[in-house]
Amino acid sequence: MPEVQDKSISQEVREIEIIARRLVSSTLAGQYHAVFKGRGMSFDSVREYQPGDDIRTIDWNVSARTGGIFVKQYVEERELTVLLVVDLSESQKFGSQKKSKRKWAAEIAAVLAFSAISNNDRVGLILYTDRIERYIPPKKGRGHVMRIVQELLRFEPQGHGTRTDVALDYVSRIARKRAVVFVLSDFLGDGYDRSLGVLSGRHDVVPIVTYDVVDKKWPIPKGIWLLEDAETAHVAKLDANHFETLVQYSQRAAVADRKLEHLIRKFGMEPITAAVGADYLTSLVAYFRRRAARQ
Amino acid sequence: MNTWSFEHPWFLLAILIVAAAAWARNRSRPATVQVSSTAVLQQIKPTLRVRLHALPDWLRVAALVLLVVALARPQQVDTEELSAEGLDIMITLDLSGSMNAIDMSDENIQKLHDDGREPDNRFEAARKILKDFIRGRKSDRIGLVVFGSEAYLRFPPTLDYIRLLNALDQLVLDDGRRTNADRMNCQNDCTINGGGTAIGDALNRAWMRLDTSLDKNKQKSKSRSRMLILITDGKQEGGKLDPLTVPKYVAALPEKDRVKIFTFQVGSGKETRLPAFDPMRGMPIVDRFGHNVYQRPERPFPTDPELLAQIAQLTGGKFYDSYDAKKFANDFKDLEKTTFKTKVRTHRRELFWPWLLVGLSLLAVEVLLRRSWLRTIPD
Repeated sequence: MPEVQDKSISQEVREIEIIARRLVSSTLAGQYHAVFKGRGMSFDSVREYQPGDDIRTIDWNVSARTGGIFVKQYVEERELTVLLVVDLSESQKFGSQKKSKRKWAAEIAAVLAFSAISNNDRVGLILYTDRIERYIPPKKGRGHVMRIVQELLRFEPQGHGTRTDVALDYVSRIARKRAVVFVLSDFLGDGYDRSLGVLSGRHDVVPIVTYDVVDKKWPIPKGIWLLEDAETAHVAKLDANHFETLVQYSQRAAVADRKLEHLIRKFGMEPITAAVGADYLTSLVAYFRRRAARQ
Repeated sequence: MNTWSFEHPWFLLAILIVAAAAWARNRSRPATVQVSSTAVLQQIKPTLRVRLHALPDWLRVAALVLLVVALARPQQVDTEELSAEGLDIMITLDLSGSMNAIDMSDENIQKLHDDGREPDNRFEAARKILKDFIRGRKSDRIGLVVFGSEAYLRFPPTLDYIRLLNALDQLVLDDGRRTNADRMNCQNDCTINGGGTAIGDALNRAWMRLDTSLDKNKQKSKSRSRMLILITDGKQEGGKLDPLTVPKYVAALPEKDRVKIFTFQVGSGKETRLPAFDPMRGMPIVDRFGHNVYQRPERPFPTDPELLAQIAQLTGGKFYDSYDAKKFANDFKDLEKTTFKTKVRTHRRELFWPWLLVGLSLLAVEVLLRRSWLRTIPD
């Protein structure tokens, strides 16, 4: 069995790689690049002045010493650190569609990882539940990304709950340099407000809220549903025949959504929502566009 | 008598199994569908349906219990005591003058007088008890022989209890005030008088009647079970036949033809009173309150319990020493119990149907609810 599983996982990794590469090369690359430009320029070298060069770039010291006219050559400081913080808690395992939220998050994270790598960024991975499950320090290279993708798909977490605050605090601690932090979670837990505020103050945090349609709106099937909370094992009953109940269900879910969005925006971030099975690419691209426009 | 009982009470133990199963099911986690979070659900007010969600489970338990009870087969057992084929009973009742006596102490007589009542003499007590006895019979043919100095067949064995009771009512005790010379006033159609205790003659007459009476199918009474009841208060006195003649004869018969003779010795107690009688006026003496005056007899009445015991013993009957009216009544009850209540017919009315039907309908309701209004997912 494990062999078969391995095979299927490596297959999945391959599939995700293909999907991600295609997406990255076609639509996403430019956008990603435009948004995450890195901070400032760094001196690279000097070269001889050519007509058309901005005279402000002339390196007078070098010119004086050598007798010719040289201009400073800068390169963009591209080397960004991208941290993928992925929630692997039990609630992420839920899926009414073909894929669970976890798979979905993994796929999005993979796409982001490939985007980052194609921009020559360093990518690190943090998997968490109610604790830090796995930390892969940021590195470059395709092999590293493949490892990250594999980890995303294969890792079996020990914990069951969700402590997003623990994960965020951890990122705050380890990431000295300013990094781009993608947080992929359903953000169902509570008590991470402060951590999120601290983290977003120092880093470029992009919350990607994964959710399943069922989390927001009860689908048609009628009857009394015995529903078990994936994390607390609390059993609740839902009367799906009762219209008012369903309305309330949607309303309460929407209220929770608004609360989350409010919180995220309060710290100057913009949430990306990724419903399982829906087209996340569009929202990613749209997000990047908006950010690019702001800069 | 009717009582409840279970034909197979052991099946009731299955209730324990039902209870255990219910308990186990209650403890085990139900099948559920996992969702990301129930936080939202907890905020929603539960609907009636949600609150009644466990109803089918309870219905199931109730139905199973009812079905188990049905399985144990509850029955209403009516026990009807009857002598199936009916006996022929001859009652021989002593009408001698001493039956006039009262077996009661002065205080007790006084108590009755204070209540405005007259005490029953032996004869009246016997009459009451016999009437009760006759009323309690259903298929026994009962005849009556009365005796004093002679024996007289008052009524042949009959099922016509009303007339028999009438005949019993019409009996008049010879209290010595009247003589058979007076045609208008003589006792019991001038048949017998109380001047003796002809036990032998009485037994003979009763026995002859039993032995020759025909039943419905003109069969001899022999084909039926027979018994003889002798009620007397004295010893054999007068009469032509020795009291043991008949018992001895009966005892010598083949077993199936034998007749048991049950003998009652009434009034052998120490407290015996006779109503005072004014021979001059020919009337009982009455005190100023209008109550009869009672006095101790000049000499004790002669009794012969040995003889009665012997008669009973010879014929396989039983001797009762009924020293006063209360004891007499109890003894007669005892006779009824031992002789008549041996045959018991039990009607068993099966009562499982309502249990079964209610159980099944509860089950049906449960299944219906589960399938429709209270459909639970996952099932």
